[in-house]
Amino acid sequence: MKLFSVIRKEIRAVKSQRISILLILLYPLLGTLLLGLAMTGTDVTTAPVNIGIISNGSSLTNEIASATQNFNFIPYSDLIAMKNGIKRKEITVGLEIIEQPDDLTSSIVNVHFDNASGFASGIFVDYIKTNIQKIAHEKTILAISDILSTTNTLSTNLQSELGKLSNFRTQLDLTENSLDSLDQKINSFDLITIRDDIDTQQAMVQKYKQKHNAFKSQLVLVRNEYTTMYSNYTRWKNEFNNIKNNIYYLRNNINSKKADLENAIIQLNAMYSQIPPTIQANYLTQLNILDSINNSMSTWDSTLTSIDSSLTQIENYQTQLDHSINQIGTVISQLEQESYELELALTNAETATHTMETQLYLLEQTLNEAKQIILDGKQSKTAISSQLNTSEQLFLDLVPKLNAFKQLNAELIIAPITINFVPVHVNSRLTWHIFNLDPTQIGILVSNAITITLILTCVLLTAIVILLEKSQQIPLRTFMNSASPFTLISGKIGGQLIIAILETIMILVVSVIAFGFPLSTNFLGLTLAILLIGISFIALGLIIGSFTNNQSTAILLSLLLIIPMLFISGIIIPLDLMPPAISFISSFLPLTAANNLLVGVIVKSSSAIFLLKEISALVGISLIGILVTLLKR
Amino acid sequence: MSIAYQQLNKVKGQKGSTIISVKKVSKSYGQKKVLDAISFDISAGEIFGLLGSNGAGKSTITKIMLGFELANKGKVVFFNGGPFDHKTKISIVPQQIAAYLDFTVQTNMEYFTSLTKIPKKEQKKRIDFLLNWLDLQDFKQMKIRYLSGGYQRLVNIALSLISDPEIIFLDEPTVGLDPKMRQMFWQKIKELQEAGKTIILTTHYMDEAERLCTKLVLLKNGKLIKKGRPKELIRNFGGLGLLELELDKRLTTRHFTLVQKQLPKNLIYLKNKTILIPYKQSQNFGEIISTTKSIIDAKYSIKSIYLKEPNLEDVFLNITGEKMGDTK
Repeated sequence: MKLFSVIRKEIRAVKSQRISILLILLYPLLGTLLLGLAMTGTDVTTAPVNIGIISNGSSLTNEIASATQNFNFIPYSDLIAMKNGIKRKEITVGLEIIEQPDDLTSSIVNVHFDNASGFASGIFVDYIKTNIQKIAHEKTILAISDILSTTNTLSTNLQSELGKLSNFRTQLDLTENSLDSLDQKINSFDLITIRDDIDTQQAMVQKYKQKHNAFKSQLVLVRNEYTTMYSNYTRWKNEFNNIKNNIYYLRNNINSKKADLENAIIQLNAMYSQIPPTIQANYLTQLNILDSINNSMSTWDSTLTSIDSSLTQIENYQTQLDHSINQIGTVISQLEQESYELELALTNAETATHTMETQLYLLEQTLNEAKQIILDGKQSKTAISSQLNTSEQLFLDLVPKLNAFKQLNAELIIAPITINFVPVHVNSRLTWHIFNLDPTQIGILVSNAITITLILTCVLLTAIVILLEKSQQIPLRTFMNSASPFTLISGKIGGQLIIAILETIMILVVSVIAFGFPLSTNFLGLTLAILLIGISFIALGLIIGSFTNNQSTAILLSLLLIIPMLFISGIIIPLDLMPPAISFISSFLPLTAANNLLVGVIVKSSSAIFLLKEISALVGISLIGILVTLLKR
Repeated sequence: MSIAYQQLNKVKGQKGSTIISVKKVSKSYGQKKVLDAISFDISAGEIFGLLGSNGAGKSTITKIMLGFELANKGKVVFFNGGPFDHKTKISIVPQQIAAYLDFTVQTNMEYFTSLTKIPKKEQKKRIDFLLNWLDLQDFKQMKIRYLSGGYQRLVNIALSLISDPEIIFLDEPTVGLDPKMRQMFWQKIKELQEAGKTIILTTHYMDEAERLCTKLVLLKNGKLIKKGRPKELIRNFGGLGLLELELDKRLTTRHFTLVQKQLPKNLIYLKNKTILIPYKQSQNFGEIISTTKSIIDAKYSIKSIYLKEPNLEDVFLNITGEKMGDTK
């Protein structure tokens, strides 16, 4: 009794609010019709429509005209004239085609339409847009064909590049081998031994230089001795020549004197007879003495001859000595020359060893640098090799893909799936229905319309009524009377539920008339689903009403709850298109559960066992809402 | 033609027995103490006034008595339990109307009657009685939103009396009403008391409390400053009364001296043609009347008489040193 009283009051409370009545009427009507509009299409292909066109006679104009043959194309000279044509309703849509002379820039089609004419021109705009997109699609196919051709070429080039890469790698390997060989050669350089040899050579040069210096000193002494000896010898030779000359002169004198003497003896002997005998004897004695002198002088001469012979012998010796001395002088000069040359050679050797040392140092540095270069070269080779491997792998990966491209069909890329719409219940569609939908679409439409309408009305109305009661201090009265809180809340739910059922009936009636919604739907299941959905949404309204203190806040909070749910419940955007996280969250939302439940009952004709998740969610929400409201009181 | 409430509904039970006992109730909101160890008892059948200016703690103690709020300390006992144990015996008449404003009076009455334990057959009778008693029959088909403030208050009372409660909380019932409507309200409240109802009246109107209440407590800044019957409080704490007699001419010095001799205990003033005679409430008023007669005998005419008796306002002023409404 009390329950019915509360239920009646609840309906009266809603009725007393004009905005509530308006909402109750508008939500099912507008919601359903708008959803229907959103989900249906109108056959514009046969409509006799005038389309204005401004064009430079390009091929694109002809293509568009060809694609939309059913329309009457009216040419305009300029944009202003065409816009005026739209304003005067001569044409529904005006096309301004700007085709670019080159292939680098997109052609432009400006579609002018009367945006004040509601969605009528919008439909034709969409149709024309579709046709233009179709032309664009064909152009795209051509472009993709080009791409595929290019891809093919690219694939071939890639193969070639892969070959070059292989060659490059071989060359790199050869270079590495060369570097290894060079490295080995450089390593085979025994610089230490060379340095030791050079040091030994330097030591020897120093040693020989010292010896040479000693020899040079000795040679100077010998030269001095030789010079002294030569000087003495020259003096002695001069003396000897003087003696010889003197002896020669002496011999000549002796011979001359002897000849004179012999002449004198002859003459004396010839005179002997003439000389007095008294003196003869004396004479004779004297003559004998002269003979004896002559003899002596012959002896002397022989002695002198012997001396002369000795001198000649000496002279011969002297000549030999001269020769020997000259030989010695020559030898000394030669020795001096050789000493000089030796010194020069030693100096050169010393310079050479220094140069060698410097060169060795430079060689050492050069070798080190060469080794570093080899090391760097090897590292570079390793890095290049690695990069080549990566590149090669990329190329190798790319090649089969590019090869696979060859198998592709340009048409297939653009339209990979061909969708055919095959209506199951073709006969159930009545020709006078406002919208032209297939049964599945109708089922989804009705489910969506009921869910959206119920969440808007149940949540908002319940919250608003609670806030209205709060503002009118009704809890002061209900608090102090004999009706239990549970009765009051049950009555509130009952009243709101009746409104929800009325809303649903209105939607079903509209759906039957407008879309030919099949009445063969499981009505028991639908009723139970509506009751459960209604109670759960009312429970949400109860929670919002319990925790807010004025209607504005309640409405805002309700919308804050409802609008995001609308967007992620799968009603507006398919759940499959959402990110997994959002999709997961969505599965727990009451709106999602409600929509899935209704789609399950209306469209899929699922049994309750398959809808346990949705049923559990909605029962849970209902219990939480009622419990929270009871505790809040 | 209205009928008297007591003709139909009489509270059975012992009048004068304590039905509500408030025991050392304290309440704070954060650091602010709004009630400080308040104690008083309310007996059956009396009009109990909760008197104080805004912020005195009247609403808070009412909410605690009704169980809408919990006391930090102390407790409230209804009979032998809490308010919820006897909620069908209790009703509230809030200052602002508590009803569905877009429903008619009749619909509201029917709805709230349906929530009571009144049998279905008697519900209509009960509604009709209340509408008649409060002269609302002519307005029963009107939406409450369109009623005047005074009639909305009457509907408010009607809705509160549907369950025929024994204890009625009235929160500032006459605020904003015209004098005629106030008089009517007072009459109805008196009738309820006569029917044996216990009324807890929250008001800041001293005259209303003085006129209606059989007992009251004076609250100031969450403290109970005085409790008792209004007349006792006025007698004990109200101070002097004042009689002003305006004459046709100024009293001569000889006559003034004569008056002073006749009323030697009173400190009489002369202000132009007006004689001001302060008096104690315990004073024999016959002496003052005799003096007045002697003035008339001395050929003076009395143009006007103004008698100002001490009231609860004076009690409040004398106890707190502040006028009602000055307190913060």
